[in-house]
Amino acid sequence: MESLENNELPEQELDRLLREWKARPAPEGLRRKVFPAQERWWRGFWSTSIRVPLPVACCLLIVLAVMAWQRRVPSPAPSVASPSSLSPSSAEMPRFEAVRELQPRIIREQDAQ
Amino acid sequence: MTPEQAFDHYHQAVYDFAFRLTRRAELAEDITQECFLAFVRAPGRYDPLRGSVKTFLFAIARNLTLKYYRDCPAEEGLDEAVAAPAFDPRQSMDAASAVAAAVAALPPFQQEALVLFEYAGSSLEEIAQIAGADVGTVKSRLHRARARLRRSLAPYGRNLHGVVGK
Repeated sequence: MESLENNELPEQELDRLLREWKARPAPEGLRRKVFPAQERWWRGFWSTSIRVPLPVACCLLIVLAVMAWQRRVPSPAPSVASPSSLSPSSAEMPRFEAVRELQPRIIREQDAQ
Repeated sequence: MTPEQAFDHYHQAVYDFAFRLTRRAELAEDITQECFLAFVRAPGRYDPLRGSVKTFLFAIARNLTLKYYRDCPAEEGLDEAVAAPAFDPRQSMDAASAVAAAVAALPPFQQEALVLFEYAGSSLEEIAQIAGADVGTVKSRLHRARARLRRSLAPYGRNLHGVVGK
């Protein structure tokens, strides 16, 4: 071993040996990692995932269930307000009074002339 | 030169450089990726007056590799005076593996000078720019690296089949 360590390779022989160590090809996916924007958008659309916390997901489900239930149940007919309920105080217009008795008068075209 | 063109021209060379220095494929891939992402994010950092795109990219890759050496305690030895792990030529291996092991046993600054000169085809001036050293220092590192390799790879010179120790 001693004799081996004392010996030295000639320059040309070292060059030859160094050339034995071949280059390693770069991985193919490298370009995609550096320039991801060049990928087609729909590929990202199909592969993208989002993380939603469980409480948020539960709340969303409850809200959706309530909305769906409300659409299935028919809403009650709108109630007609009685004249008595339209008191001047509730209308908050002190100078106007609710009509107590309606007396309709039909004005015909001849009457108008 | 746009980042895309730079990638097409130099990604193989940068990857090869990083792999020969780290000897880890995933790490070399990360270094190459980071190197080009740095160029994509801030192309204005490249100043044509200070050197070529190639030197700029290799300098980034070199800094990332040195960062790896600093962060990894097992790979300490940036200082050329620090003893590198020994290479045992008696171990049975083919010539390529023996060269890789012998280069790995060199101190990092000698390794990078040798890899840039022998495998990346860089000139002494380019290596000096990449390493931030003067040409004389690079020449000296290269000379010492080759001298070490001539000794450590001596057993392989006599064996034309490239295998020893069997």
